[in-house]
Amino acid sequence: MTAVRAVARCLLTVFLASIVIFALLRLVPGDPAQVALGVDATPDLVEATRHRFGLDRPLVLQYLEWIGGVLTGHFGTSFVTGQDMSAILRDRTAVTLWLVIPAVLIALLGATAVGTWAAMRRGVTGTVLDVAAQLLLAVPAFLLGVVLVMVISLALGWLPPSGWEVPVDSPGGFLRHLILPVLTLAAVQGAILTRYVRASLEDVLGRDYLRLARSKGLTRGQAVFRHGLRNAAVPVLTVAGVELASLLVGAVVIESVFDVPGLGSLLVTAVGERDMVTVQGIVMVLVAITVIVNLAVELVHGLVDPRVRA
Amino acid sequence: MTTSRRGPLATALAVALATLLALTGCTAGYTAREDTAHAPPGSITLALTAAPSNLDFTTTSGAAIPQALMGNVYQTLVAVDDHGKLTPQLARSWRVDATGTRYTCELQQGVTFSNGDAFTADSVVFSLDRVRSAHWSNGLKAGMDVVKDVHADDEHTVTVTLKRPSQAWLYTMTTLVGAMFTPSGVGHLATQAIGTGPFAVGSWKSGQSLTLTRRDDYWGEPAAAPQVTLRYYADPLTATNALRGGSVDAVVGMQAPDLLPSFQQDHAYTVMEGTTTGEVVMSMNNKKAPFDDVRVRKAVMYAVNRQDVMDSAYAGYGTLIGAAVPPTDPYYEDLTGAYPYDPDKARALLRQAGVAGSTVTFSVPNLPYATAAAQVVVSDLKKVGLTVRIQQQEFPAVWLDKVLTKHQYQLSVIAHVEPRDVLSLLAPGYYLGVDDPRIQDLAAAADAGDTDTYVKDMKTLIRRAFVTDAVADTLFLLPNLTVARTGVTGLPQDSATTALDLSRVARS
Repeated sequence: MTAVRAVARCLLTVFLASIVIFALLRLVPGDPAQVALGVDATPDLVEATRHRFGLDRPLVLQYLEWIGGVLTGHFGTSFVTGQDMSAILRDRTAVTLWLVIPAVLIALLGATAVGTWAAMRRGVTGTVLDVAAQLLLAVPAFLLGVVLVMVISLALGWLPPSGWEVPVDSPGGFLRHLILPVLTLAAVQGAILTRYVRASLEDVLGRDYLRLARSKGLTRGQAVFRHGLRNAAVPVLTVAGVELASLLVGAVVIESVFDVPGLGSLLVTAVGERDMVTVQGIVMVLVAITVIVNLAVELVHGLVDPRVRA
Repeated sequence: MTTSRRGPLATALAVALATLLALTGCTAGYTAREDTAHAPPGSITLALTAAPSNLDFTTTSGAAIPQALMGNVYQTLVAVDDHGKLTPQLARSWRVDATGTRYTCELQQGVTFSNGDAFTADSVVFSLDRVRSAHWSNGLKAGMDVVKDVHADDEHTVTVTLKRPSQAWLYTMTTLVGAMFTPSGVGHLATQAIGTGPFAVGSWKSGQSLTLTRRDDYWGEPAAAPQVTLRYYADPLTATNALRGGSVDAVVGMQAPDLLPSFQQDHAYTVMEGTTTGEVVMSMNNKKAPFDDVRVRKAVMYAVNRQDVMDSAYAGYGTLIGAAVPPTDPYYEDLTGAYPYDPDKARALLRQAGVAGSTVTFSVPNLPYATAAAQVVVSDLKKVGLTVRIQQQEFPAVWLDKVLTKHQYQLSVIAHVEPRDVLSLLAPGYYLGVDDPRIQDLAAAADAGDTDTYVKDMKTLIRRAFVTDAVADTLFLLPNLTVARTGVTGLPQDSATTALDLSRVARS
């Protein structure tokens, strides 16, 4: 029953989002026909172009046609690029997921290790790790990316500075292109997560059940590993889920620095050109992924913490 | 107990990862894949900035599409060389009758389109009729309004009759509105370009890359490189890094001149500076106070130090021009001395006009050169007693809406990149707000005259508009900055048109 309710809630969210994004795009100033015609536009030509784009039809009709397509998996033909966006959207999503999911997983692993270590050693080491995490937090991701390119790609020549290779074309090339952008994203996200892991674990360390675990004969490390981490995981996973969702678009700067053909860069271009079909499609994909990620985080909560299941 | 609880978690993670792989497959990025992996030896990859949104300039404006396609894929009857002179292309020769309205063109023979169609007089009739039809919505099509009739005399001769003599028309024929199409090649213009040029479109990845392949059946001298790929980078630093990393051979049309010095000191690279047709025009709404008063416009001309603007916006690269006419145009005249930097004169003019101490709004598009230029203008105008409030506007969408279409602005700035666009800037109803019948009369007289009077009359008109009436402050001409790996040859230095000629580009 709860599962049905959760799914229904997700569908409602997606549906409402579709209306909001459709309406918002028509409220912001800027007309796709005008953008297409640029500085030489005349009112007659703009009118004719609006007609060609189908923008002069009733809004309800435009919405129904679009959402009908989306429901059957067709995101429509962009009037700006003249291309069917379905395949492009799926492909761009795949690229961004390749970037974001490994980055969040690496960030999560790294943050758990470093955060646990920092929480258990409150002394100098803890402070040093804390300062390091703070520093990494303060560095904008693109700057870190630019520095990594300068050092690792241009000075040392170890990895390509930018670009993308399709996995099936060249698995090795694909991985070599993936490393720097993923590390850049992971570093900054990891720094954020480290602080959550540490704070969450410090909170847990003082609890009675840990003392009980110690009294059963477990070492401090064993107690933290078996009981502490599990309890500290819930807030950390929630933050990681939110990070993953925000990174889908937030990776745009990194996509631009490393010239990765992902969702974010497509969205920026599409917004600039008022390419409504593409913007709507991307936002729907993002909403859907966000909803799925949140659902997954909830499910994982249940696995980690039996109380949530009740 | 522990294992049984860890089990579902591991399963969930595994399922999630498997879903990811199923979703993405192993083809992630295939829609952006370039064809450089199988490029024949001698292929060239160039980095550029602004990606075309599609390949159809008949319905989409902007410089990016003609930059890539004109001359390379699409050709015209007549072309224009680096010095702005007309040269034969698909027309072997042409003659004008005594009335100046009938142009008879002898066409090249043995020319084919990249889809195999023959280029004949019928192609010319089809193309020129199409420009004047509703199929075209690019505003530049107005350049063909003067055409009354196009007639195929025989397979290789065509006669174009104009409504009135027009000096500008033949030049217009060299631009994208003169591009030659074939009826079977216009079905999917947004994604397929079929022309008579030395290259055919090999692949087109929207927003990413355009691969041009040399045509072996090209009617003229074949292109030097077997394949040229244009790679579009949103970030100039990423483009120069790609050059250093070896994935591109040159960066063309550099928009970040501050990245140039490191290449100038390095013998592995060659830096070229040339001219463009991009005039950076600071517009003053001639129909809105206070700029409806010529004294205020003149005051701005005296107050703004254009050298400082160019230094700040383009690190000193570029050319100072006194009017929206690049030096490659036949009617160019050095007018840079008309309004020397003179803050005292500016102050006096503002006092005379009674607007000293007032505030104006500057609508600045969010483009790097515009933002940098605006900073200098604000400080220069402040010195003479005009407070400027900057209003950043998203370009293109918001700027086109507010400034270009609705004329809701006082001061603005933008680069006008179309070749020979000075008359469209001065046209009535355009956003500059110049609505002067005398200028229209001069333009009509110039167009109707012969070649000599045309140049003379155009110069008179330009002096009248940009000096006497001070309709707008032409800040500078955008430079054409190219960084190439040493050994890459044949890249054009100047661009007197919007087209980027790739036919001679090669690597030694």
